[in-house]
Amino acid sequence: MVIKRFLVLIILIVLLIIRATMVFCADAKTVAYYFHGNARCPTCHKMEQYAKQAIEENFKDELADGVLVVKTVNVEKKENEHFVNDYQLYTKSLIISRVENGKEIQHKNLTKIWEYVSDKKKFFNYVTAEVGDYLRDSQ
Amino acid sequence: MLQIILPFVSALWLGILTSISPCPQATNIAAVSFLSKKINHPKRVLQSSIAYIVGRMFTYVVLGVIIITSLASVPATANFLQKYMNRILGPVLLIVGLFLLDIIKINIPSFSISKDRQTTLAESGVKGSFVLGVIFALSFCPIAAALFFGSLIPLALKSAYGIILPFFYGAGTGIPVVVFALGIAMGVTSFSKWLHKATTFELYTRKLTGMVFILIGIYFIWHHIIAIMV
Repeated sequence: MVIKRFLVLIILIVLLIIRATMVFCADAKTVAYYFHGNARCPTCHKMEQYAKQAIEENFKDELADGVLVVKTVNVEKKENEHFVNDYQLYTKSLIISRVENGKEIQHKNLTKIWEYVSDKKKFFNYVTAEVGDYLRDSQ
Repeated sequence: MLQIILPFVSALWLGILTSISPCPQATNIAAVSFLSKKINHPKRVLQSSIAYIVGRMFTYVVLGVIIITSLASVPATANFLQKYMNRILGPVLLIVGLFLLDIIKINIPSFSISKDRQTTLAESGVKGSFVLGVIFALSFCPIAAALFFGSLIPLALKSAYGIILPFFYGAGTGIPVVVFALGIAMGVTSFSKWLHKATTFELYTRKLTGMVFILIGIYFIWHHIIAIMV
């Protein structure tokens, strides 16, 4: 009985190690950035909230594993100004970026958030589909 | 044929979309009240409205040329205008509002402006409306920036008639405001004719415009200057 329990424990530990190693070895993650400035408009707050909610509801495991990260960045802070040129930002934007071994491989500006912000369902579907595509590519 | 017309229609529609979205409504209200000041003279309201649209078109065409000819980058132009123009707009609206209410008067000896001239400036139909169009078009809010820099400019860069598209976009951004201003002027004219009091309303419209400008000016100062510092 004790041996059986011990074996189950060993199997569980091995499985956990394998999963952690997979995540670590791949060293690939997707970052969803929401960029804003100092002045925040009601629609801009709504977009940030929708984007976070869509990601948190649909990618719980990926967020927990660290393969997906959500960051809110104020581009008017000195240390973040480089993002404007890096991503050619011209307004509040949601950018998804795929990073492998510490280097960005590709990114995409989800420009349609402005089109869909008045329709929560469309907004959620759009963000979920785009983030999902990036996550699939990273695996 | 459709392929030639489509970019122009799209540019016009993008302009209308910009104007009817929530974020430019504060400046739209200011513009409607300014344009419909001569509320009993629909013809003068029409002249002012055309000047306002031309002002907006002028701004977008100049910006379009600057960007299409690569004199300035999209991010640099977009962020500069959003950051600084909205900060300037509050004090400008406040000063114009105080001027319309006759609380402040331009009375600098070296720029001596006669009383008639001051009145002309305050009543300013065509010139004032043109300047208002230019300034309001430069004050990009987030959705205006998204649609102009993110949708219109890429469309203009792809189209053989790219340089003309900002004209249509500018017209689109002004049309909803002008429709409201003209609608109010024509409605009030008919109403006052029915009441046989042709000039009653016009006595108050300048003051009302002044108050609207002051309130919106305070809103802009709060939102774009004070709230950021707090």
